[in-house]
Parts: sequence; structure tokens; C-alpha cells
Amino acid sequence: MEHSGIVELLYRLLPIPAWKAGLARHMESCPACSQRLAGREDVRRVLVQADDLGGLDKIWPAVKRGIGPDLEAERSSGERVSGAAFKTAPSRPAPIVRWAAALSGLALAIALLVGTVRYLGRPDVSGGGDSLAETDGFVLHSARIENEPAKTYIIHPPDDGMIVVWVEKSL
Amino acid sequence: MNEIEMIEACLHGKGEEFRLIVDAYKGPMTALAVNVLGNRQDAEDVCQEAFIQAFRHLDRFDRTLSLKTWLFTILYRRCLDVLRKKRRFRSFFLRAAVDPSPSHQDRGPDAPESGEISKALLESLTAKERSALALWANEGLNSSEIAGILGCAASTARVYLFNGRRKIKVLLEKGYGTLGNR
Repeated sequence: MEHSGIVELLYRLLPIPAWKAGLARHMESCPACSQRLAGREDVRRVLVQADDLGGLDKIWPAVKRGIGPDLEAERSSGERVSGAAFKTAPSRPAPIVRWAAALSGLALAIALLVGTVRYLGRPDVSGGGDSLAETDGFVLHSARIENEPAKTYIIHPPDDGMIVVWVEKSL
Repeated sequence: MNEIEMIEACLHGKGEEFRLIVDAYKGPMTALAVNVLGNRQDAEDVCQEAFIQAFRHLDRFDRTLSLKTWLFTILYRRCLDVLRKKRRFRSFFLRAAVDPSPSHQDRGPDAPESGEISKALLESLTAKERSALALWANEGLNSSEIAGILGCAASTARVYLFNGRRKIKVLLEKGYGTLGNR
């Protein structure tokens, strides 16, 4: 596969915009890769520009009506206008905070993954009514509570030298 | 009179001074709105609303920043509001499909009317990608400045820009010759 094809494939596979941006930067500067991108003039040709638009004279009268004499008078008297509908740009956390949050999230995801794999791969969790339960040479033929068969679980924590036997019965 | 003086005059109740600001930016603002929304009528409405909103909140404008960037930020957010609430894109296409106006009859199906962008472009690019492209190509802004307007990280703005450029290249290569508005 040619160089630009590999880069584009990588670009598609990367899930995080910050990583994609690194590859995008490369593709913008690499002569081979940049051939896959529209240039500024191409983009200008397909988008609408200010010069394409005539008849914008009606904007000011509409704005003037919207501003209104009351608002002008309010402003000239020094009163503040209410700004409930105004949206300021959202404040963004500092880069170090964003990185810390991203790393924490990644660590948590890895921990969850490892925990799940280890839990599912545990060979020593077994159970069953009165049936034979066995692990690592430890055999339990039956377990009874009040002379009745009971559910039995043998748990062998992998990092521990002990075996836990859990017997339960619904009363 | 420079921008700061115009703003000061507006803040002291001289609404007429705001006309100078409107006249200076109505073209670029309307063009951005058309590129985001896809049709001129909505673009003009949003533009007027953005100017009114800017006037009402001129006292909050940070004079160390660019007035143009501030106006574009207000406009972009209003455009997103319109897109979210009314889904103008869909209704525009539905109207165009079932009730073509006489001005559409002698043009190709993909040929855009003056002051509108093509259907192929609208369908292929997201609003954020079109915004980033318009700010980059028409206004010459870099990815950091675009990020400030779109309210995202610079890397994200770069990705919008990159995706948009790639999609336009593909469209042009497929022969969408009528993409152009001129």
C-alpha cells in the first residue's frame, strides 16, 4: 500500500481527535498526502463568500429595529441590559487537567479490563447442589445442612494458598 | 474611527455607530451563516439576530480579543441553535424537491442558487466541518482561532478542517463540477 494510503488508513483507525490531528498535520505538510486534500482555493470555489452576496442592505434596518430606541436609551443612561440569552464561550479546563482526566480514564478502563479478564478466567470457582466439587486436588464429595443437600462453592483465590468452601441452603 | 472607539460610542447609547460595525461585518457573517445553514433566508435572519445580540452585550466584549472572532462566535452559536431546533436542512430539501421555484427550473439539479451552497456539499459535510472550512478558506483563520469560535480544542478543529478538505477533494474528483457557487 502506498504511503498516503497507509497514513489515511491510520487516520481512520485512530479514535481520539488529538491523535488524528497529529496525522492531519503530517498529511497537510507531506507532498504525497496533501494531494488527497482540497486546497484553500478549491474550498473557496465551492463555498459561498461575502463577494457572492448582494442585497445585504436590509440587514442594518432590521438590526436597528431590533436594537430599538429603548435599548439605546437604557444604555445611554448607564443601565445594564439583561443577558439571559447570551452564551459566552464555554471555559475549557487547562491542558494538564484534561490530560490527567484522560489518563485517569485510561487507567480505569485498563483496570476494569484486567479485572474482568481475570475474573472470567478464574478456573477455581465451581458449585452445584450435591454434586462433586473439586479444585487443585481438593475434593468435596458432598455437603449437607440439617441432613439436606446444600449448594457448595469452592473458591481458590489465585494469589492465595487457601481454599474457601461456601455452603448454603435456603431455609 | 477604529473598532474600539465604535464600541465605546455604542456603549454610550449611540446606536447609529453600530451601523459601521454591521456594515463592516455583514458580508463575512452572512457568508459564514449561508455556509453553515445552507440557505440565505435563514442566514440573514441569524445574522440579524447575532448583530442584535452583540449590541446588547457589547459591554461584555473583551477588548483584548478580536471583534470579528467574537461576532463569529455569536453567529456560529445561533446557527447551531437554528440547526438543532428546526432542522432547516431537511425542510429546505423537501421544499425544493416537491415545489421547485421557477428560478430552479432551468438549472441542473445540483447547481446552487447564488448565495446558497450545493446539496452535495450540505449532505457530505457536517455543519462543523463547513464552519471550519469557511473560517479557514474565506477568513484565513488558523485552527486555534477556529477552535475558539467553534468552542472546541485546536486539535478537534484541525480534524474538522482536515475531514472537510478531504471530502471536498473527493467530491471534486467525482466530478461534482456544479459544486461551485460561481
